Amino acid sequence: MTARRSLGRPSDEELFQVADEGAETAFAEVVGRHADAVFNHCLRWMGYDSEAEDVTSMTFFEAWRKRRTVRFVEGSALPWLLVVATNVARNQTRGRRRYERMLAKLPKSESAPDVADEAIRHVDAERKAAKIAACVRTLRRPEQDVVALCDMSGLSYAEAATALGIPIGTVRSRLSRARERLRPMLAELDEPGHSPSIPSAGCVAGAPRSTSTSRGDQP
Amino acid sequence: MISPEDFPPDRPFSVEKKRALQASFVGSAPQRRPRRRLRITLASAGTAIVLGGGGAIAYSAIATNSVTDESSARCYSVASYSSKGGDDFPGTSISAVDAGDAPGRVTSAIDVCASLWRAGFLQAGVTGQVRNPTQATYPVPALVGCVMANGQAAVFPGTAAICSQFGLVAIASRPASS
Repeated sequence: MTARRSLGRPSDEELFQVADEGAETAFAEVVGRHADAVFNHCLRWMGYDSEAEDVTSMTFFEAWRKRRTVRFVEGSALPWLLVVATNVARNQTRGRRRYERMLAKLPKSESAPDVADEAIRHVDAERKAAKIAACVRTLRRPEQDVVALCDMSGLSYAEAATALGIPIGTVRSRLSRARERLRPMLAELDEPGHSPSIPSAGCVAGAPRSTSTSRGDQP
Repeated sequence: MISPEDFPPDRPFSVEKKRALQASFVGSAPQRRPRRRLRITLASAGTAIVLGGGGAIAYSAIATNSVTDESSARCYSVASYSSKGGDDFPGTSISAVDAGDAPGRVTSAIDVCASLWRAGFLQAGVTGQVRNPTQATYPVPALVGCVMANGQAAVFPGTAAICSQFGLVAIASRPASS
C-alpha cells in the first residue's frame, strides 16, 4: 500500500489539523477519502458481517474523538484509521453505547440484490473469507493487529509499525508468530472437499461482539 | 499466509450513508450551545430592554461588542454580508464537533478561516466553498473578524473597514500571507 496523498491535494495530516481547529468540513473530506477502505477492512475483519457499515461509521466517530493521537504515515491517516477500525470492531458493544445517538441519525442500509451467479460466487468467497477472519481472531490481540493490517489489508511493515506505534522489528516478529499459528488452520481450509460452510477446528465463524480478553496497543 | 486476494473484491461504502456520515461532521446540523453562553446572550438582550427607548439598537450595540457564542462561526469567501441572509451565505460555517458530552467551541475563528484559505477550501475570486482543492497550499488574503448580531464571529477577506461597512464591530484582523 502506498501513501494516499495525491500531489496537490491537502494531506490527511493537514486536514486533521484544520479540522481540529474547528473546521469539520475538513474531517468530512477525510471521511470521503477513506470510508471505502475502512469499510472493506471492516468487512474482511468481521467476516462480511452485516454490521460492518455501522462499525465503519463508529470508526470515524472514534477517530474524531481520538484525533489528537492520530499517527500519520507520510501524511496519510488511513493506516491509523484501520487500527481504529479493528479496535472498534472488537469493542462493538462499547462503541454502540457511546455513539448510539449519532448512529441513529444515519440512514438504515438497504442491501441491493445481486445477480444470481454473482451472488453464489460471492457467498462462497465470503464464507471462506469469514472462516479466515475467524481463524485470525483466535490469535493473541497484538498478533491479530499485524495480520489485520499487513495480510488482510495490505499495509507494509513500516506503515503498520507507524500506525500501531511499535518498532518495525516487532511487527515482523508478531507477524511471523501469527503466520506460524495460522498455517495449520488455513491448510485445513484448503483441503480438497472442505466445505467453506463447515467450520474448521479452532476457528468459529462470526464477528466478535464484545471486548477481547487479550489487550495490546491501542491508538 | 493470508493475502488481500483471499477476500472478495472491494465494494464501495453506501453512498447515502457516507454522505450522512460526512454531514454529521459538518456544522450544517444544529449544534448544541453551551448553556452559559446562551445565558450571556439573554442577559445582553435584557439589559438592552431595560435601557428603554431604541431598545433594538441598544441590544445590537451590546450584542456585537464581543463574541458571545463560540459554538460556531462563519468564514466568508467574499466580502459580502446580509444580516437577513439566514444560513445562505458565500463561504462555510465552522463549528467544533461535540466531544463526548462537552459541546464544541470555536476559539479562534480567524485562525481557523485562515487554515481553510491555506488549504484551498476558500479561494480568492471564488464564491462559496471549493470542494476539491488541487494545490497543496494557497495564499491567505488579509482577513478581518467581525461579530454578528447573534454573537458569533464572521471572518471576511479584507480589512477592518469591511466590518463597519456592514454595521458590525471588528474584533481581529490578520495580514495576507502566501
